Amino acid sequence: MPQDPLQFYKSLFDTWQRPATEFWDAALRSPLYLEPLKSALDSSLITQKTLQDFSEAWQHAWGLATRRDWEMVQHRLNQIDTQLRRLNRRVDKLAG
Amino acid sequence: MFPFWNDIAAGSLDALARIHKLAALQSGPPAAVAQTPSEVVYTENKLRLLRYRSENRVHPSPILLVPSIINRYYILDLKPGRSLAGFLVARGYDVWIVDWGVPGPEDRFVTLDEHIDGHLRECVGVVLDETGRNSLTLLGYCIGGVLASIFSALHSETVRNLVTLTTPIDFHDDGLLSLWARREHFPVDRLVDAYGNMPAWLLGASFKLLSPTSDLANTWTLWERLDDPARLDDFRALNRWVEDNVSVAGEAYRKFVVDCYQENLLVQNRMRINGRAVNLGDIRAPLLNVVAQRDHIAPCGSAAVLNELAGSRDATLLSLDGGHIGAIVGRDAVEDFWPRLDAWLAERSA
Repeated sequence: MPQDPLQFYKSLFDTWQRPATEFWDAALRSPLYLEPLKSALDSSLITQKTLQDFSEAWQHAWGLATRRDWEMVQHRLNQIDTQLRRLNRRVDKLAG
Repeated sequence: MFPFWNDIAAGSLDALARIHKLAALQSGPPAAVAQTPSEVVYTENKLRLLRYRSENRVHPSPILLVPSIINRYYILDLKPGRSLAGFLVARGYDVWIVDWGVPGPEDRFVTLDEHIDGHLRECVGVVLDETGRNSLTLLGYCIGGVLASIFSALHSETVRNLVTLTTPIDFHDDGLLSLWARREHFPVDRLVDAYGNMPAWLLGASFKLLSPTSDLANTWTLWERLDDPARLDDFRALNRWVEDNVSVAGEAYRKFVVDCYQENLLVQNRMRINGRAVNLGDIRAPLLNVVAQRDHIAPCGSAAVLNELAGSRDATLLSLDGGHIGAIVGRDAVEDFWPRLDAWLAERSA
Protein backbone atom coordinates (compact mmCIF):
# COMPACT_ATOMS: atom_id res chain seq x y z
CA MET A 1 0.00 0.00 0.00
CA PRO A 2 1.20 3.58 -0.59
CA GLN A 3 2.96 5.33 2.28
CA ASP A 4 1.21 8.62 1.53
CA PRO A 5 -2.45 8.28 0.50
CA LEU A 6 -2.50 11.84 -0.89
CA GLN A 7 0.35 11.07 -3.27
CA PHE A 8 -1.54 7.97 -4.33
CA TYR A 9 -4.62 10.03 -5.18
CA LYS A 10 -2.40 12.58 -6.92
CA SER A 11 -0.90 9.93 -9.17
CA LEU A 12 -4.41 8.68 -9.96
CA PHE A 13 -5.49 12.23 -10.77
CA ASP A 14 -2.48 12.82 -13.05
CA THR A 15 -3.18 9.55 -14.85
CA TRP A 16 -6.80 10.58 -15.34
CA GLN A 17 -6.17 14.17 -16.37
CA ARG A 18 -4.29 13.62 -19.66
CA PRO A 19 -6.90 11.39 -21.35
CA ALA A 20 -9.69 13.52 -19.87
CA THR A 21 -8.17 16.65 -21.42
CA GLU A 22 -7.79 14.90 -24.78
CA PHE A 23 -11.37 13.68 -24.60
CA TRP A 24 -12.74 17.16 -23.82
CA ASP A 25 -10.65 18.76 -26.55
CA ALA A 26 -12.09 16.35 -29.14
CA ALA A 27 -15.62 16.70 -27.74
CA LEU A 28 -15.51 20.51 -27.76
CA ARG A 29 -14.45 20.51 -31.43
CA SER A 30 -17.15 18.10 -32.47
CA PRO A 31 -20.12 19.28 -34.59
CA LEU A 32 -22.24 17.26 -32.15
CA TYR A 33 -21.36 19.89 -29.56
CA LEU A 34 -20.88 23.01 -31.68
CA GLU A 35 -24.08 22.89 -33.71
CA PRO A 36 -26.55 22.52 -30.80
CA LEU A 37 -24.57 25.15 -28.86
CA LYS A 38 -24.88 27.62 -31.75
CA SER A 39 -28.62 26.88 -32.05
CA ALA A 40 -29.18 27.32 -28.31
CA LEU A 41 -27.16 30.55 -28.24
CA ASP A 42 -29.00 31.88 -31.30
CA SER A 43 -32.42 31.11 -29.83
CA SER A 44 -31.60 32.65 -26.48
CA LEU A 45 -30.15 35.82 -28.04
CA ILE A 46 -33.04 36.23 -30.49
CA THR A 47 -35.53 35.85 -27.64
CA GLN A 48 -33.66 38.34 -25.48
CA LYS A 49 -33.42 40.90 -28.30
CA THR A 50 -37.09 40.48 -29.23
CA LEU A 51 -38.14 41.12 -25.62
CA GLN A 52 -35.84 44.15 -25.45
CA ASP A 53 -37.21 45.56 -28.71
CA PHE A 54 -40.77 45.05 -27.51
CA SER A 55 -40.02 46.73 -24.18
CA GLU A 56 -38.31 49.67 -25.92
CA ALA A 57 -41.15 50.11 -28.37
CA TRP A 58 -43.61 50.19 -25.46
CA GLN A 59 -41.50 52.75 -23.58
CA HIS A 60 -41.14 54.93 -26.68
CA ALA A 61 -44.90 54.77 -27.25
CA TRP A 62 -45.34 56.31 -23.79
CA GLY A 63 -42.68 58.91 -24.49
CA LEU A 64 -40.26 57.37 -22.01
CA ALA A 65 -36.50 57.11 -22.42
CA THR A 66 -35.27 53.56 -22.80
CA ARG A 67 -32.21 52.04 -21.20
CA ARG A 68 -30.46 52.32 -24.56
CA ASP A 69 -31.30 56.04 -24.71
CA TRP A 70 -29.76 56.56 -21.28
CA GLU A 71 -26.68 54.59 -22.28
CA MET A 72 -26.27 56.69 -25.43
CA VAL A 73 -26.60 59.94 -23.45
CA GLN A 74 -24.04 58.75 -20.89
CA HIS A 75 -21.74 57.66 -23.72
CA ARG A 76 -22.00 61.08 -25.38
CA LEU A 77 -21.23 62.77 -22.06
CA ASN A 78 -18.20 60.53 -21.61
CA GLN A 79 -17.05 61.43 -25.13
CA ILE A 80 -17.37 65.15 -24.40
CA ASP A 81 -15.52 64.72 -21.10
CA THR A 82 -12.74 62.81 -22.88
CA GLN A 83 -12.44 65.48 -25.59
CA LEU A 84 -12.26 68.21 -22.95
CA ARG A 85 -9.49 66.36 -21.10
CA ARG A 86 -7.51 65.93 -24.31
CA LEU A 87 -8.02 69.58 -25.22
CA ASN A 88 -7.03 70.68 -21.73
CA ARG A 89 -3.84 68.65 -21.98
CA ARG A 90 -2.95 70.26 -25.30
CA VAL A 91 -3.62 73.75 -23.92
CA ASP A 92 -1.41 72.99 -20.91
CA LYS A 93 1.29 71.76 -23.27
CA LEU A 94 1.11 74.91 -25.40
CA ALA A 95 1.17 77.08 -22.28
CA GLY A 96 4.41 75.34 -21.33
CA MET B 1 -1.68 -4.04 8.70
CA PHE B 2 -1.04 -1.41 11.41
CA PRO B 3 1.26 0.81 9.32
CA PHE B 4 -1.43 1.01 6.62
CA TRP B 5 -4.15 2.09 9.07
CA ASN B 6 -1.70 4.52 10.64
CA ASP B 7 -1.14 6.07 7.18
CA ILE B 8 -4.87 6.38 6.62
CA ALA B 9 -5.41 7.96 10.04
CA ALA B 10 -2.51 10.39 9.62
CA GLY B 11 -3.65 11.23 6.10
CA SER B 12 -7.21 11.88 7.29
CA LEU B 13 -6.05 14.21 10.07
CA ASP B 14 -3.83 16.05 7.62
CA ALA B 15 -6.74 16.33 5.18
CA LEU B 16 -8.99 17.76 7.93
CA ALA B 17 -6.36 20.34 8.83
CA ARG B 18 -6.05 21.33 5.15
CA ILE B 19 -9.81 21.62 4.72
CA HIS B 20 -9.84 23.92 7.74
CA LYS B 21 -7.08 26.03 6.11
CA LEU B 22 -8.93 26.11 2.80
CA ALA B 23 -12.10 27.30 4.51
CA ALA B 24 -10.12 30.02 6.29
CA LEU B 25 -8.64 31.14 2.95
CA GLN B 26 -12.05 31.23 1.31
CA SER B 27 -13.52 33.43 4.02
CA GLY B 28 -10.42 35.60 4.36
CA PRO B 29 -9.43 38.66 2.32
CA PRO B 30 -8.45 38.16 -1.35
CA ALA B 31 -4.78 37.96 -2.27
CA ALA B 32 -3.10 41.36 -2.42
CA VAL B 33 -2.22 42.40 -5.98
CA ALA B 34 -0.81 45.45 -7.81
CA GLN B 35 1.43 46.52 -4.95
CA THR B 36 4.22 48.30 -6.81
CA PRO B 37 3.96 52.03 -5.95
CA SER B 38 2.48 53.99 -8.82
CA GLU B 39 0.71 57.26 -9.50
CA VAL B 40 -2.24 58.01 -11.74
CA VAL B 41 -0.99 60.51 -14.30
CA TYR B 42 -3.95 60.71 -16.64
CA THR B 43 -7.54 59.49 -16.84
CA GLU B 44 -10.26 59.50 -19.47
CA ASN B 45 -13.55 57.65 -19.26
CA LYS B 46 -12.71 54.42 -17.34
CA LEU B 47 -9.05 54.41 -18.40
CA ARG B 48 -6.19 55.28 -16.05
CA LEU B 49 -2.59 55.79 -17.06
CA LEU B 50 -0.26 54.75 -14.23
CA ARG B 51 3.42 55.62 -13.84
CA TYR B 52 5.89 53.52 -11.85
CA ARG B 53 8.77 55.83 -11.09
CA SER B 54 12.22 54.30 -10.85
CA GLU B 55 14.50 55.74 -8.17
CA ASN B 56 17.59 54.65 -10.06
CA ARG B 57 16.62 55.28 -13.64
CA VAL B 58 19.26 53.98 -16.00
CA HIS B 59 17.36 53.86 -19.29
CA PRO B 60 15.89 57.16 -20.49
CA SER B 61 13.44 55.67 -22.99
CA PRO B 62 10.06 55.05 -21.29
CA ILE B 63 8.15 51.77 -21.53
CA LEU B 64 4.37 51.70 -21.87
CA LEU B 65 2.80 48.37 -20.88
CA VAL B 66 -0.44 47.59 -22.71
CA PRO B 67 -2.48 44.80 -21.09
CA SER B 68 -5.44 43.00 -22.62
CA ILE B 69 -8.86 44.63 -22.64
CA ILE B 70 -10.58 41.45 -21.43
CA ASN B 71 -8.67 41.16 -18.12
CA ARG B 72 -7.41 43.51 -15.45
CA TYR B 73 -4.09 45.27 -15.94
CA TYR B 74 -2.48 43.89 -12.79
CA ILE B 75 -1.30 40.67 -14.44
CA LEU B 76 1.75 42.81 -15.26
CA ASP B 77 2.01 43.94 -11.62
CA LEU B 78 0.80 40.82 -9.87
CA LYS B 79 2.57 40.91 -6.50
CA PRO B 80 6.03 41.67 -5.12
CA GLY B 81 8.50 39.31 -6.74
CA ARG B 82 6.04 38.46 -9.50
CA SER B 83 5.54 41.92 -10.93
CA LEU B 84 6.92 42.56 -14.41
CA ALA B 85 6.37 46.28 -13.88
CA GLY B 86 8.22 46.11 -10.54
CA PHE B 87 11.07 44.15 -12.13
CA LEU B 88 11.51 46.71 -14.93
CA VAL B 89 11.41 49.58 -12.42
CA ALA B 90 14.12 47.87 -10.36
CA ARG B 91 16.22 47.53 -13.53
CA GLY B 92 16.07 51.27 -14.05
CA TYR B 93 13.27 51.73 -16.57
CA ASP B 94 10.60 54.43 -16.53
CA VAL B 95 7.50 52.21 -16.63
CA TRP B 96 3.95 53.22 -17.47
CA ILE B 97 0.86 51.05 -17.77
CA VAL B 98 -2.58 51.43 -19.30
CA ASP B 99 -5.36 50.33 -16.95
CA TRP B 100 -8.32 50.02 -19.33
CA GLY B 101 -10.72 49.97 -16.39
CA VAL B 102 -14.08 48.23 -16.27
CA PRO B 103 -16.54 49.28 -19.00
CA GLY B 104 -20.01 50.32 -17.90
CA PRO B 105 -23.20 49.57 -19.88
CA GLU B 106 -22.84 52.95 -21.64
CA ASP B 107 -19.47 51.88 -23.06
CA ARG B 108 -21.17 49.44 -25.43
CA PHE B 109 -20.69 52.11 -28.10
CA VAL B 110 -16.90 52.42 -27.61
CA THR B 111 -15.12 51.09 -30.69
CA LEU B 112 -11.84 49.30 -31.25
CA ASP B 113 -10.77 52.31 -33.32
CA GLU B 114 -11.30 54.51 -30.24
CA HIS B 115 -9.27 52.12 -28.07
CA ILE B 116 -6.32 52.20 -30.47
CA ASP B 117 -6.42 55.58 -32.21
CA GLY B 118 -8.01 57.40 -29.27
CA HIS B 119 -7.20 56.04 -25.80
CA LEU B 120 -3.89 54.35 -26.58
CA ARG B 121 -2.74 57.21 -28.79
CA GLU B 122 -3.53 59.72 -26.04
CA CYS B 123 -1.65 57.62 -23.46
CA VAL B 124 1.39 57.52 -25.74
CA GLY B 125 1.12 61.30 -26.11
CA VAL B 126 0.99 61.80 -22.33
CA VAL B 127 4.04 59.55 -21.78
CA LEU B 128 6.04 61.39 -24.46
CA ASP B 129 5.02 64.82 -23.14
CA GLU B 130 5.79 63.94 -19.52
CA THR B 131 9.17 62.41 -20.32
CA GLY B 132 10.22 64.87 -23.02
CA ARG B 133 11.04 62.01 -25.40
CA ASN B 134 9.84 61.57 -28.96
CA SER B 135 9.43 57.78 -28.90
CA LEU B 136 8.81 54.98 -26.41
CA THR B 137 8.85 51.22 -26.02
CA LEU B 138 5.43 49.57 -26.34
CA LEU B 139 5.03 46.24 -24.56
CA GLY B 140 1.70 44.50 -25.18
CA TYR B 141 0.37 41.34 -23.57
CA CYS B 142 -2.19 39.13 -25.36
CA ILE B 143 -4.86 41.37 -26.95
CA GLY B 144 -2.84 44.30 -25.62
CA GLY B 145 -0.12 43.06 -27.98
CA VAL B 146 -2.58 43.17 -30.88
CA LEU B 147 -3.46 46.77 -30.00
CA ALA B 148 0.23 47.67 -29.61
CA SER B 149 1.09 46.06 -32.97
CA ILE B 150 -1.69 47.89 -34.78
CA PHE B 151 -0.68 51.15 -33.11
CA SER B 152 2.96 50.58 -34.09
CA ALA B 153 1.91 50.04 -37.70
CA LEU B 154 -0.21 53.21 -37.74
CA HIS B 155 2.13 55.46 -35.74
CA SER B 156 5.58 53.97 -36.25
CA GLU B 157 7.29 57.34 -35.65
CA THR B 158 6.43 57.25 -31.94
CA VAL B 159 7.44 53.64 -31.27
CA ARG B 160 11.09 53.03 -30.46
CA ASN B 161 10.72 49.31 -29.67
CA LEU B 162 7.81 46.89 -29.82
CA VAL B 163 7.55 43.91 -27.48
CA THR B 164 4.64 41.52 -27.95
CA LEU B 165 3.94 38.86 -25.34
CA THR B 166 1.84 35.84 -26.41
CA THR B 167 0.00 37.93 -28.98
CA PRO B 168 -2.26 36.27 -31.56
CA ILE B 169 -1.80 37.71 -35.07
CA ASP B 170 -2.96 34.92 -37.40
CA PHE B 171 -6.34 34.09 -35.92
CA HIS B 172 -7.10 31.11 -38.12
CA ASP B 173 -5.05 28.61 -36.17
CA ASP B 174 -5.86 25.13 -34.91
CA GLY B 175 -6.82 26.30 -31.40
CA LEU B 176 -10.25 25.82 -29.86
CA LEU B 177 -10.78 29.55 -29.44
CA SER B 178 -10.21 30.12 -33.16
CA LEU B 179 -12.70 27.36 -34.02
CA TRP B 180 -15.39 28.58 -31.62
CA ALA B 181 -15.14 32.19 -32.78
CA ARG B 182 -15.70 31.41 -36.49
CA ARG B 183 -18.76 32.93 -38.12
CA GLU B 184 -20.50 29.55 -38.47
CA HIS B 185 -20.24 28.90 -34.72
CA PHE B 186 -20.41 32.26 -32.99
CA PRO B 187 -23.21 34.82 -33.59
CA VAL B 188 -21.23 37.82 -32.36
CA ASP B 189 -23.62 40.39 -33.87
CA ARG B 190 -26.61 38.90 -32.10
CA LEU B 191 -24.66 38.69 -28.86
CA VAL B 192 -23.56 42.33 -28.91
CA ASP B 193 -27.01 43.50 -30.02
CA ALA B 194 -28.62 41.60 -27.14
CA TYR B 195 -26.13 42.23 -24.33
CA GLY B 196 -24.49 45.53 -25.27
CA ASN B 197 -21.10 44.67 -23.86
CA MET B 198 -19.59 41.19 -24.02
CA PRO B 199 -20.38 40.11 -20.44
CA ALA B 200 -17.46 39.20 -18.16
CA TRP B 201 -19.25 36.07 -16.94
CA LEU B 202 -19.59 34.75 -20.49
CA LEU B 203 -15.95 35.44 -21.26
CA GLY B 204 -14.91 33.74 -18.03
CA ALA B 205 -17.10 30.70 -18.75
CA SER B 206 -15.70 30.41 -22.29
CA PHE B 207 -12.10 30.47 -21.07
CA LYS B 208 -12.88 27.86 -18.42
CA LEU B 209 -14.44 25.65 -21.08
CA LEU B 210 -11.23 25.84 -23.13
CA SER B 211 -9.66 23.70 -20.44
CA PRO B 212 -12.45 21.91 -18.54
CA THR B 213 -10.15 19.98 -16.21
CA SER B 214 -8.21 23.05 -15.10
CA ASP B 215 -10.47 23.87 -12.15
CA LEU B 216 -9.89 20.41 -10.70
CA ALA B 217 -6.16 20.68 -11.36
CA ASN B 218 -6.11 24.12 -9.72
CA THR B 219 -7.89 22.77 -6.65
CA TRP B 220 -5.27 20.08 -6.38
CA THR B 221 -2.46 22.62 -6.79
CA LEU B 222 -4.00 24.75 -4.06
CA TRP B 223 -4.25 21.69 -1.82
CA GLU B 224 -0.57 20.88 -2.38
CA ARG B 225 0.60 24.44 -1.73
CA LEU B 226 -1.24 24.91 1.53
CA ASP B 227 1.97 24.26 3.50
CA ASP B 228 4.09 26.63 1.44
CA PRO B 229 2.97 30.23 2.18
CA ALA B 230 5.03 31.84 -0.61
CA ARG B 231 3.80 29.56 -3.37
CA LEU B 232 0.28 29.61 -1.94
CA ASP B 233 0.30 33.39 -2.15
CA ASP B 234 1.54 33.23 -5.77
CA PHE B 235 -1.25 30.84 -6.62
CA ARG B 236 -3.95 32.92 -4.95
CA ALA B 237 -2.80 36.14 -6.62
CA LEU B 238 -2.75 34.55 -10.06
CA ASN B 239 -6.08 32.85 -9.46
CA ARG B 240 -7.61 36.15 -8.40
CA TRP B 241 -6.55 37.64 -11.74
CA VAL B 242 -7.81 34.64 -13.74
CA GLU B 243 -11.24 34.99 -12.11
CA ASP B 244 -11.27 38.77 -12.56
CA ASN B 245 -12.53 39.03 -16.14
CA VAL B 246 -14.05 42.31 -17.21
CA SER B 247 -16.79 42.99 -19.73
CA VAL B 248 -15.58 44.22 -23.11
CA ALA B 249 -17.05 47.28 -24.81
CA GLY B 250 -19.60 45.85 -27.26
CA GLU B 251 -18.63 47.56 -30.50
CA ALA B 252 -14.92 47.02 -29.82
CA TYR B 253 -15.59 43.34 -29.17
CA ARG B 254 -17.71 43.01 -32.32
CA LYS B 255 -14.98 44.48 -34.53
CA PHE B 256 -12.24 42.45 -32.86
CA VAL B 257 -14.09 39.16 -33.34
CA VAL B 258 -15.28 39.89 -36.89
CA ASP B 259 -12.07 41.45 -38.24
CA CYS B 260 -9.61 39.20 -36.44
CA TYR B 261 -11.20 35.84 -35.58
CA GLN B 262 -13.77 35.60 -38.37
CA GLU B 263 -12.24 37.44 -41.34
CA ASN B 264 -8.59 37.22 -40.20
CA LEU B 265 -7.96 40.65 -41.72
CA LEU B 266 -4.96 41.65 -39.59
CA VAL B 267 -2.65 39.01 -40.99
CA GLN B 268 -3.73 39.95 -44.54
CA ASN B 269 -3.01 43.66 -43.90
CA ARG B 270 -6.69 44.38 -44.67
CA MET B 271 -7.89 45.55 -41.27
CA ARG B 272 -8.90 49.22 -41.09
CA ILE B 273 -8.76 51.57 -38.11
CA ASN B 274 -10.47 54.92 -38.52
CA GLY B 275 -10.47 54.31 -42.27
CA ARG B 276 -6.72 53.63 -42.45
CA ALA B 277 -5.48 50.22 -43.57
CA VAL B 278 -3.27 48.50 -40.99
CA ASN B 279 -0.17 47.20 -42.74
CA LEU B 280 1.98 45.26 -40.31
CA GLY B 281 4.88 45.87 -42.69
CA ASP B 282 4.77 49.47 -41.48
CA ILE B 283 6.09 48.35 -38.09
CA ARG B 284 9.67 49.66 -38.27
CA ALA B 285 10.70 49.51 -34.62
CA PRO B 286 12.92 46.71 -33.31
CA LEU B 287 10.60 43.84 -32.44
CA LEU B 288 10.77 41.26 -29.67
CA ASN B 289 7.99 38.73 -30.20
CA VAL B 290 7.58 36.31 -27.29
CA VAL B 291 5.60 33.12 -27.89
CA ALA B 292 4.75 30.27 -25.53
CA GLN B 293 5.02 26.68 -26.70
CA ARG B 294 1.97 25.45 -24.76
CA ASP B 295 -0.23 28.48 -25.31
CA HIS B 296 -3.85 27.45 -26.01
CA ILE B 297 -5.09 31.05 -26.37
CA ALA B 298 -2.46 32.45 -28.74
CA PRO B 299 -0.88 29.30 -30.21
CA CYS B 300 2.80 29.54 -31.14
CA GLY B 301 2.26 29.71 -34.90
CA SER B 302 -0.48 32.32 -34.57
CA ALA B 303 1.86 34.61 -32.62
CA ALA B 304 5.18 33.86 -34.36
CA VAL B 305 3.92 35.04 -37.75
CA LEU B 306 4.39 38.68 -36.69
CA ASN B 307 8.14 38.32 -37.25
CA GLU B 308 7.50 37.53 -40.92
CA LEU B 309 4.99 40.34 -41.41
CA ALA B 310 6.57 43.22 -39.51
CA GLY B 311 8.87 45.54 -41.43
CA SER B 312 11.38 45.64 -38.56
CA ARG B 313 14.98 45.01 -39.57
CA ASP B 314 15.75 44.01 -36.00
CA ALA B 315 13.19 41.28 -35.20
CA THR B 316 13.70 38.66 -32.50
CA LEU B 317 11.46 35.66 -31.87
CA LEU B 318 11.70 34.25 -28.36
CA SER B 319 9.99 30.92 -27.79
CA LEU B 320 9.37 30.01 -24.16
CA ASP B 321 8.30 26.81 -22.51
CA GLY B 322 4.92 27.19 -20.78
CA GLY B 323 1.39 28.40 -21.34
CA HIS B 324 -0.25 31.74 -22.08
CA ILE B 325 0.16 33.08 -18.55
CA GLY B 326 2.87 30.95 -16.95
CA ALA B 327 5.44 31.68 -19.65
CA ILE B 328 5.09 35.43 -19.02
CA VAL B 329 4.59 35.77 -15.27
CA GLY B 330 5.28 32.28 -13.88
CA ARG B 331 8.13 31.38 -11.56
CA ASP B 332 10.35 30.33 -14.48
CA ALA B 333 9.61 33.59 -16.28
CA VAL B 334 10.94 35.59 -13.34
CA GLU B 335 14.23 33.71 -13.40
CA ASP B 336 14.70 33.24 -17.15
CA PHE B 337 12.46 35.35 -19.37
CA TRP B 338 12.49 38.65 -17.49
CA PRO B 339 16.31 38.95 -17.43
CA ARG B 340 16.36 38.17 -21.18
CA LEU B 341 13.72 40.83 -21.76
CA ASP B 342 15.82 43.28 -19.75
CA ALA B 343 18.93 42.45 -21.79
CA TRP B 344 17.03 42.96 -25.07
CA LEU B 345 15.51 46.25 -23.90
CA ALA B 346 18.73 47.60 -22.36
CA GLU B 347 20.51 47.38 -25.72
CA ARG B 348 17.73 49.37 -27.37
CA SER B 349 16.65 51.89 -24.73
CA ALA B 350 19.54 54.36 -24.65
